[in-house]
Amino acid sequence: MNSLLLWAVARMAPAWRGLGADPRALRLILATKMKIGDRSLKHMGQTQGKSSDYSILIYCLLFLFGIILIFIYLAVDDKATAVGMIFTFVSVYLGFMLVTEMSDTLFDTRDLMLLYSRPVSDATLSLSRGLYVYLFASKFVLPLTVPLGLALLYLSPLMVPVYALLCVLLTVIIVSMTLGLYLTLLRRLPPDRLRRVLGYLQVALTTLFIVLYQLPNLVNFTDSGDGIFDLRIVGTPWGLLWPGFWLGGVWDSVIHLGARPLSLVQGALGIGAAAVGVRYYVRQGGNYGSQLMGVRIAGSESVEDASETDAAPGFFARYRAWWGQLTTRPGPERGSYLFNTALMTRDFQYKQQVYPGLIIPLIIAVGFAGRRLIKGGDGLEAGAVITALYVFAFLIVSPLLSARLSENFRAAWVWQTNPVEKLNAILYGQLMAAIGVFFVPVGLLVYVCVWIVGGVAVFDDILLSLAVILLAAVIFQYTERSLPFSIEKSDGGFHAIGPMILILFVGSLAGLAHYGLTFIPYGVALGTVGAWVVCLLALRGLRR
Amino acid sequence: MHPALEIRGLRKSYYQKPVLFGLDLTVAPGQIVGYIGPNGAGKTTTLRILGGLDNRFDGEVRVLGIDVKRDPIAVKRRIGYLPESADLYDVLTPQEFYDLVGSLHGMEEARIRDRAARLEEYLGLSYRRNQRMDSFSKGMRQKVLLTSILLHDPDLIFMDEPLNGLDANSVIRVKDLLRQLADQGKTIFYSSHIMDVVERISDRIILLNDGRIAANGTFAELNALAHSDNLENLFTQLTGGLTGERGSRFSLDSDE
Repeated sequence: MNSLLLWAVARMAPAWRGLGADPRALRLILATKMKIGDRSLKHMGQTQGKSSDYSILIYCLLFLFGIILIFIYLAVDDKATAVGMIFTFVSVYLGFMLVTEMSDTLFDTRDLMLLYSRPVSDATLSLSRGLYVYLFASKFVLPLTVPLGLALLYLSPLMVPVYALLCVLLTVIIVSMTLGLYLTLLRRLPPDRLRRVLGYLQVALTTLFIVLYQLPNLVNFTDSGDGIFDLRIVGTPWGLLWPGFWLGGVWDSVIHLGARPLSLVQGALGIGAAAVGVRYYVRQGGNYGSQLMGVRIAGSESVEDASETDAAPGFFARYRAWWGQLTTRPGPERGSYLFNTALMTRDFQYKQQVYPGLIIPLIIAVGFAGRRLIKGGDGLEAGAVITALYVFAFLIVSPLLSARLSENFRAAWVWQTNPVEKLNAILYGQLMAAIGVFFVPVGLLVYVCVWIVGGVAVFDDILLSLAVILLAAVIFQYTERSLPFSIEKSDGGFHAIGPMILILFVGSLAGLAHYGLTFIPYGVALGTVGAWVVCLLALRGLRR
Repeated sequence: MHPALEIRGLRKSYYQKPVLFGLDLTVAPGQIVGYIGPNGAGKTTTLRILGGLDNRFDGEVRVLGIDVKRDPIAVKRRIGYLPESADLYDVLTPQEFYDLVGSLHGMEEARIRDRAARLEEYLGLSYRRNQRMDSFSKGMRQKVLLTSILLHDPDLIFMDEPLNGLDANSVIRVKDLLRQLADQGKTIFYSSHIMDVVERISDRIILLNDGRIAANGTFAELNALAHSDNLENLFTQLTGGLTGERGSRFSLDSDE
């Protein structure tokens, strides 16, 4: 596929020359970058060593998603809206992937010393990166969009060329939007701030993606009747909201000549956005190399330029220090606590992996509590409350699982060159960090919501589930013995698959047992006492 | 008194490729030992074994009288180990990094702070309070590493290329520091490619070539052996390198 894409790039040499780039250098840089990209494919934040099997799996999954998109096309009566919805889905996925996966590539300056010290112009450099991202994105758009293309070939072959054109336009719009945003940030922000802004952007987008993904379930969108079949967005003012619908406008305009006036406007917007996006990116490309070099040398700033302040610690910093003093002993326990707390609250890769997931329990809890407060009515059944309570184990196991992994895993030499006499002390400090940073603050909100939903009667259920969740976390620490932030991120958590299965199994059993106890008089109260005794004994064991 | 280091018949292979061929070595306490050799000679491998980081080897290795294979934790308690080009958790501040290292050695926070401040002042490392290491230069990171390995007052210090990334003034500082530590009775065993530094500060020089000790003694002893006027020439002679007029001439293109 690489050769085909490179061949296509080579055919457009006059266009690249017109934009001020050297087509030969462009092709060579692209070929090398694609080779490197294939050998270290990134997806969902994971750098993969054996890329071939993994990339095939990703493409197969995307192809399956693509098949689901056919059903959307068939289900929605207004085909322009259906196409708009499909392109909206693809564009959100693509935008999300570009921001979360390609940030490192865009700001990867390792090749810069090599390239920029050669006679390579800014235009060649910025175009090579832009095209590389475009080709990278195309590889993901293809399996997503090909199934519908094949379906159209069967349903109405004449529409296929239009559909293919729209796929190209969509990729151009989303890639140029993302690249344009990045280039603007690169030009406007100092290099050290840029890194932070990007990190927060990634976390925010991942959160948004997860929320969007969960939203239909949470608001019972799919149960709202058969409104989706009659949905009409393209050709109405709503169709102006997102580029995916603009392309629906192009579809409407081309397929149904003399379409709705707003469809024509949206179609013009779609084509215009692609052209403006490319032009904007090329115009912003001046001085590209030296801007990127700024990012590279951000690590050499002098003390006077450093942006850190000597401001007094804020509320959360004071809370974390207090929690550490309350729950850990000086020495390896405290050292591990402070280390884990610092990385959990600063490492962007960790934040990206863990923080968005914490939103799910919050959405569930706040959603149910909000509905109860607004609509009133009876509380949830005991079984539903108990299930929700055990889902909250996610708040502690997920941060612990990710706290083993690090992009910077090579820094873990510090655990090997220094005497780690009791691994349990390190793991206990880590557990307290996860509880202090995530479980207590998020859990407070979540359990208050559960109380609102379930009433006073669920108090003992909360206490019992808390003991079981803490016990599960302790068991995880007993069984998953990796040192903090010491495992290559490409493992993606698979190294802990055994302990995870164990926790899931034990957790499910505990949930069932909890439900069973509700049928026995004083069963939950007695179970709570028993569970807390076992939990505290297990914690004590971890500290010995 | 135990020797600081005692190695008997040390052999090591990586995937059946031998790297060390039966090293024998004894180092007395209070010495500065320069461990030199060409790239790939086995210096870092030896240091990793001595530091208790690798116990898959044959032979007997005692560090400060402790069998390193049997009790690596006891060895780590008493040594400082500086890896070559070490990565750091750079979202930490130096103080947080020292707290972690110090806590693993069971040190109290006040003592960690006090010693770190003294070492940083001596090495000329300054930064803002709360400044994270991701904004540090290579030299600053190296000074953080040097500070971290000396915090717990180790008896034996292993260093793999300790002068990496340091400027000339800092190199002088580090050399002075090593000499003072040796005067206090500490043993320093380090590898370096900077021959004039090794020549000047080492009490003893060990030259490793192809996994075997090619020379072992003071600079004067080695000089007498090979009749070379400096360590660079000695190194070249003993490792089979070619310099100056004896070296082959280089031409980018073939002669026409």
